[in-house]
Amino acid sequence: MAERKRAERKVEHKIIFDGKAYSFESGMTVLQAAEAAGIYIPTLCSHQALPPFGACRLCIVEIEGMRGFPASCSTPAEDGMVVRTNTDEVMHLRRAVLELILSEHPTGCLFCERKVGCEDFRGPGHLTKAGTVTGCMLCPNKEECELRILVEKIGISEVRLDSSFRSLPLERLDPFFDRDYNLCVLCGRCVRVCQEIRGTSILEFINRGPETRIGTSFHHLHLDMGCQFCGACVDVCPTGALADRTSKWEPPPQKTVETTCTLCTVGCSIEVAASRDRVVRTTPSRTDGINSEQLCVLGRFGIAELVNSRDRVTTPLTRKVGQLVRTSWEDAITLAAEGLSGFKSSETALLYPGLLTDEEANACRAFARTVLRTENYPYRFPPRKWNSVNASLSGLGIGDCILLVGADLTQTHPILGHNIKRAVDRGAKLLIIDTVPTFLDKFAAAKIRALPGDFSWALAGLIWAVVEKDAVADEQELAKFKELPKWAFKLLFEEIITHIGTDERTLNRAADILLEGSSTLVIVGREVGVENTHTHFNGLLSDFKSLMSSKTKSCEVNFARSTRDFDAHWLKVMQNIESMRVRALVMIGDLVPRLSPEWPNPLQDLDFLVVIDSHNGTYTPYAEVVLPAAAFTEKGGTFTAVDGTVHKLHPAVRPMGQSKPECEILALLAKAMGRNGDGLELPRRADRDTDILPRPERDFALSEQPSAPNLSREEVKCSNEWPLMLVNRHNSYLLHGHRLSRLVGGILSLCMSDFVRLSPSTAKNLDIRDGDEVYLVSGKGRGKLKAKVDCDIPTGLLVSRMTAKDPRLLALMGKEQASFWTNTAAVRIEKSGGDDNV
Amino acid sequence: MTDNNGDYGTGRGRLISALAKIQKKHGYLPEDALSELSRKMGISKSEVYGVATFYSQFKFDPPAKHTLHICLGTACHVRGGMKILESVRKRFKVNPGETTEDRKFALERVACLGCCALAPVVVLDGEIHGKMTPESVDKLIDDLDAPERGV
Ligand code: SF4
Ligand code: SF4
Ligand code: SF4
Ligand code: FES
Ligand code: FES
Repeated sequence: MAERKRAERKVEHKIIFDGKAYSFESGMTVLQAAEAAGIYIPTLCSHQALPPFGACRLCIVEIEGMRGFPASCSTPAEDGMVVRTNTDEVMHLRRAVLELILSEHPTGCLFCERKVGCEDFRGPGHLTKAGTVTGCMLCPNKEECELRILVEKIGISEVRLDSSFRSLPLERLDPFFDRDYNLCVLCGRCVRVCQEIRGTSILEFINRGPETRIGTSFHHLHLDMGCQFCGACVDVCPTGALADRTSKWEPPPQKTVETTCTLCTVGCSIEVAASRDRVVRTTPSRTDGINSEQLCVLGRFGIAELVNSRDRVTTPLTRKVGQLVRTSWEDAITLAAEGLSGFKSSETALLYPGLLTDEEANACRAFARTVLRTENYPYRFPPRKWNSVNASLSGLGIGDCILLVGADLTQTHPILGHNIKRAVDRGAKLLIIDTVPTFLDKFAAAKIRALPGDFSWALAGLIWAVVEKDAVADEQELAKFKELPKWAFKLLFEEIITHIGTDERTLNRAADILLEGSSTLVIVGREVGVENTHTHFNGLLSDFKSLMSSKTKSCEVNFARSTRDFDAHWLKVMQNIESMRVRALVMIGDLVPRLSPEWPNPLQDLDFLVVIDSHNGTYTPYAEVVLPAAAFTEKGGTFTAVDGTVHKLHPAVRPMGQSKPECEILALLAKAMGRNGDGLELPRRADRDTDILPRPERDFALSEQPSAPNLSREEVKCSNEWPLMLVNRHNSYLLHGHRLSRLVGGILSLCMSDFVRLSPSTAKNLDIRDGDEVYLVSGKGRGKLKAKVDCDIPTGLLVSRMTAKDPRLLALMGKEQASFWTNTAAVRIEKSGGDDNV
Repeated sequence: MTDNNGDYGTGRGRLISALAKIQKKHGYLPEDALSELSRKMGISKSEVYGVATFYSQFKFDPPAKHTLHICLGTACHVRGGMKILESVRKRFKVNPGETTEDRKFALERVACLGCCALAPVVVLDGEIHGKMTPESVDKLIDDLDAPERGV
């Protein structure tokens, strides 16, 4: 049956365009068939990433046997169809339609009488030149404008209709991109990409008739509407209406280079546009990547600002009479080498971040082992690989369940979050166990709430619900579960329900969904790693896995960890530093978190600190030697992503200033220390290195304890005095320990959150209204936030998203707890300030 | 727990009747009510707003306390309707179709109310007044406030 279908699909059909026969594959639209045949039909509203819309009518054709002029983009091609794409009537109509579209759009740049002459000066490297009033000098679209192409191809040289300028104000209060809806032609691509592809749905057609606009609900800022700032709308806009702010006034790029984004472990394919050795902008690569032509805010808008930052370290620095001063590479390397050579091997340490290229990670390990000859380096860096699943999740669809446990993927692995949404679009069912509502909630078939530390309870509840669903379940089957015998389950069930605050119905429903599906993919996220009950959790997880494997076709468990997960060995290195067993440290990045400058500097007791980094960080001022490192857009190599796939990096620009790739720096250092630095230097040696060096641990056995910090979470209990549970989840993005909110302006506005969300009933009890300012008071301190009433929050819970550095958070939670991704505190709400100290 | 698994986009028809209900209750569509509706129906806030703005009968501001329609049909126009409009416009600093900031007073223009014999005509809160002058309209409006002052 399936084979026959496939055979059918292969049958080639014939279609006649303008008297000539062409073949096409079934399922194509007339437009696609024409494109395949190399015949040009002008389009505006259609876009290859989006389903046909049929709104602009520019793609009209004549089809024999069909009345009128059907839109080719939304008419399915049929065998034997006779299509005429360029009759006089069609051409005339298209011109009329385009004129109509342009009557509301400034056209100076389209029909300027000097256009031809000026074209010569508009090559790469020149600013677009055109008149202002008519819009083109203000139009940021440069030579990439699709309207210009349409005007040329359709061949109009004037708009005979009265033109009307909308005089709408420029919208530029949001970060990252500006919106000038005076240039908008209402093609609806942005609306559709935001709704259908990204699932964010914050853009819409507003009003009707001549008043129609693109906008948000009540014209609120994108920031307030939950825009993800993914830039998808900017990328599909055919005009200059939506424009990326960083590249807006840059000349058209001189070159574009395909490489990989390394701001998280997803490994999206990106295209870096560069001019004069400066990254101008990054867009999703048009080749097949794990990210299918989408990016997150970091990859789309963060990279250019990050790598061009004024905080880049561009020359080697050394300490001379207490001051860091610029110096030459030779000088800096000699000083660093001499300094490091003065310590015993066991007194040295190397810290390096997780988002380096594979070659760099190898070089780091080689450097620690063969040059420093120390054990003080994170050789068991957290596994990057998931068990097997392809992170594009492209195979998932109807019949598949995805269970996210404490995995806020939209934050930790943005494009994976997006891929999950797309899997749901294809029919997969999503279940979520998490503490707070996340972006993916709206795509979930069931949500189970569990406080930090309670994920085991939630899983136990789910196991129980699944077992109970099945009529054949018996004592024997349950006996297989080593964690809990049946009676214990039964006894605990009530308690589980009360403990996690989820009702039985939700658990049962989740169990139904799991059992209806044929396979389950479990993704365990960052939030579970910080539990101190993880041993228990792991047992339950393998129970769950074997249970689901026996009930359905398959069950896979994967770990999506972030780069800030420390493993036991990392902690040992840190302890050695703290206990002053380590006297000299080489640190790549800014890896030791220090949330407030008032707190003691954890590295202050070191005798010798060498920082290798691309940006100035917390510890550069304390270093003896600072060596400038290249940013990832400036170097080549390979990058193993979270799912174990290997991606290529290609340098788009030269290293900024005198900076060098880490591999080279380590090799120079090794040589200066009298050791052979050859093996450290270059990617081509990478495979040989694997023989002698431990590779990063790639597989994660279930029985093994997940790498978790040895920090213990205080148990938080509500009481009469502190009746409410405040849960804060950090909204921070890190690269090599640097806070991106510091280095990229717009990220700060995404991370800053003034809101505490509470359930309508909590709000009613306390007589709090949306937007009220409230004071949260915990046993440790207090902080002022704005109340937001949110029906997705369970009664008794308060949810905030302050950053790790937010003084209010530090006051409420204390510094130990503030270092978790998700923190809890028992609090009460006061409506007015008293003596306010925040 | 809501189940809108991939089903976003359903129920646009229901949406319109829900919007009508809200308008009936409040006299306009308050933002809070629309947010609540968006959550309940699993349709994004912007989509709800987009649909609502498509229909001109939906209002997004609380209705004004009083509404003054000034007729500018041919007869009223000829007999000085424009003068009345100008004076009201100056006095309240509103254009036709707008409402004063304190939401007390809305100004609308209409084209012929079918009682041209009485031209120029104004309608205040549904009540027709004929043979008006700018001064008499001023008085009409002043009288509106009078009982309130008494309270
Ligand atoms: S940036 Fe992304 S989420 Fe925001 S409006 Fe554009 S498409 Fe929608
Ligand atoms: S903003 Fe751009 S993409 Fe959106 S409707 Fe207007 S022209 Fe089309
Ligand atoms: S999801 Fe990760 S890899 Fe992809 S663009 Fe965002 S930060 Fe870069
Ligand atoms: S491209 Fe076909 S209607 Fe717009
Ligand atoms: S013109 Fe005013 S009532 Fe006819």
